[in-house]
Amino acid sequence: MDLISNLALGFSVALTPMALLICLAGVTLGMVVGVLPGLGAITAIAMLLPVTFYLEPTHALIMLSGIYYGAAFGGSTASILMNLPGTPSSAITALDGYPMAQQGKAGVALLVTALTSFAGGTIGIILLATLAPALVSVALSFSSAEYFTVMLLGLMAAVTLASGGPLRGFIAVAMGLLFGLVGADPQTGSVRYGFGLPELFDGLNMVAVVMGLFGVAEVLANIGRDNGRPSTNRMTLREMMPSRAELRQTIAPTLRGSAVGSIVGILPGTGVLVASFMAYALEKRVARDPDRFGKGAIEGISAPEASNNAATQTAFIPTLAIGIPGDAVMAIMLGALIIHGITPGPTVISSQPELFWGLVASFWIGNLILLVMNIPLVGIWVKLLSIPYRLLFPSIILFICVGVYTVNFSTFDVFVTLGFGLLGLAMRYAGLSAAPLLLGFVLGPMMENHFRRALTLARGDLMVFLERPISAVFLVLCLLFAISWILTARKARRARTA
Amino acid sequence: MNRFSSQNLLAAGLALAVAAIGLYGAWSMDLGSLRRIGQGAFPQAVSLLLLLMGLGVFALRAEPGPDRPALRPIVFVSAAMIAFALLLPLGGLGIAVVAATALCACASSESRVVETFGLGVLLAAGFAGLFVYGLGLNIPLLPE
Repeated sequence: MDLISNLALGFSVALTPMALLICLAGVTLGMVVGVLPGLGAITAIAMLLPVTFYLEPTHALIMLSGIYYGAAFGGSTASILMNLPGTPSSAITALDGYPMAQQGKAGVALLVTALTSFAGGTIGIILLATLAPALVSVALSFSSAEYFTVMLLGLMAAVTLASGGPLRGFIAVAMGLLFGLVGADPQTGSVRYGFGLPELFDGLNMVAVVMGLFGVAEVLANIGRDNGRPSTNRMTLREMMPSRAELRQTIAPTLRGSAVGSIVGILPGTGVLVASFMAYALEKRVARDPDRFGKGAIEGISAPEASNNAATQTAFIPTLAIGIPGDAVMAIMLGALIIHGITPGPTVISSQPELFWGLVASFWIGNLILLVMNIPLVGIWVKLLSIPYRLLFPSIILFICVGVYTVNFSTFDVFVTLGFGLLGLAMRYAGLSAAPLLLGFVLGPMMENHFRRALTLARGDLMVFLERPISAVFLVLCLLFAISWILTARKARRARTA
Repeated sequence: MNRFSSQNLLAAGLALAVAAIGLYGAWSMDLGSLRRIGQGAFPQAVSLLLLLMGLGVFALRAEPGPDRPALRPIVFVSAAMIAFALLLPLGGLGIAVVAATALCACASSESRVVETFGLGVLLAAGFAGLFVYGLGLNIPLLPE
């Protein structure tokens, strides 16, 4: 009963004309940026983050999440039509989606993507609406010790899953932690790593860090690479309809994918990429004929698409219920909440019900908009792909410059963005990924704060982290991750010597 | 087996450089005690860990990395962003955007003069419309 009245509240917020308009704008902008080559969901959110500061908090979050899943969806469109995945997660869709397009079944692939994304998203939203409030009662019993260990767990997971191995992930996280410490120490008020620059006293601007690492670095890596020309053929609705057999083939993979994605999304430190990757691997394993994968198997697009959309939604569970972001995108969302003066944590759902439930309802409306928009507008997305990169990249860089500047009206932040852009490029060539760095950047100050507070409350007794049962469970999970590194390293060494 | 691939060297270099700055900046900070942890404990611990990880990279096997980035985009995109930051307070949004667009376009050999100028004007008008008129922000449009 409670759920229904809450959802009614949510829809009353999300169905106001302004909220609908903002949801539509977010989804559309997200799709446009997501379709463009070389721009993923994180870049899209980072670029448009400053614009949302001028909206009220609920609307800002509705817009940001619209951009997020819109961009994820746009990325899939680009991968299917052009084999130009904007993000690693849509690269998995390209594995089977592009071969389908080459076989003349691009329309079917696009519609199946839209349908399975919608199904996966809906399942994720249902879980979000039921699990998040339940998790709140657990989270309310959290003290600083649990907060510290659950964040540690998130970072361990991010390190474990980082591309290039745990050592590289660890380096990225540690760098992020240090960058996060710049500025005034919340407990003593003294400035750390200020180096005499008054601009650094408030810490590094998160928007500048994100835009540099993900926007500028992306552009720098892409200039000069030929992006190819698309064949702009028109598509009719009739071509897009999957046959009944094809539809039946997608049901089980969609459900399996949604299940995988929902679980992966809730875990801290894992991202959408892991969700689609695991769903694809699972489909390949359960398939009667695994050879079809990579050659246009419809399961190969429906499972990962359902999975990443389910994960996209369930990733909001820890973010909104506990206040701990699971991946880089959620870290940005959390940052946006803080900028709007809302302290993330278990009290958000009860103190701001219209924010939480409005967001939940708008997710569903947004997913519906995506489904509806995708069908008539495919032609426009294809046209967008034919914009030459020589016009695109100056526009992106300039948008980033103006956007960063408007956050604090500070030209210093533009330099910070450039610095992190160059760092992001260097990291790319060093095989370090930027997502764990951002997670460390956001979690670092919170972790330190909780660690110090936990020890002060326990009068300096380190056992506090083991004596509290939930905290001990988190620590055991951390230990399991560490053991997995050793086992993987040993296996790799044995494989090399053999 | 070549352990010192440029990819590993770069990773180690980045880690060691950030760790060195971290240690340098945290050197004089107060460590505190377990009961009352000082502001220096966390930064020093993380910097030391990063230092060890940076050294640990040398134990990794060299793997073929991506191609080296081209210098031209780095130079011109950096120049464009610096020009934007310097010109905005002096010349206003219009001049800063057009100049930065022109510099930015130099990063690619495919750019064309007239087209780039048109893009710059279009972007400046777009930003003015969105941020100044749309969101009502107080950004100077023209030199004072």
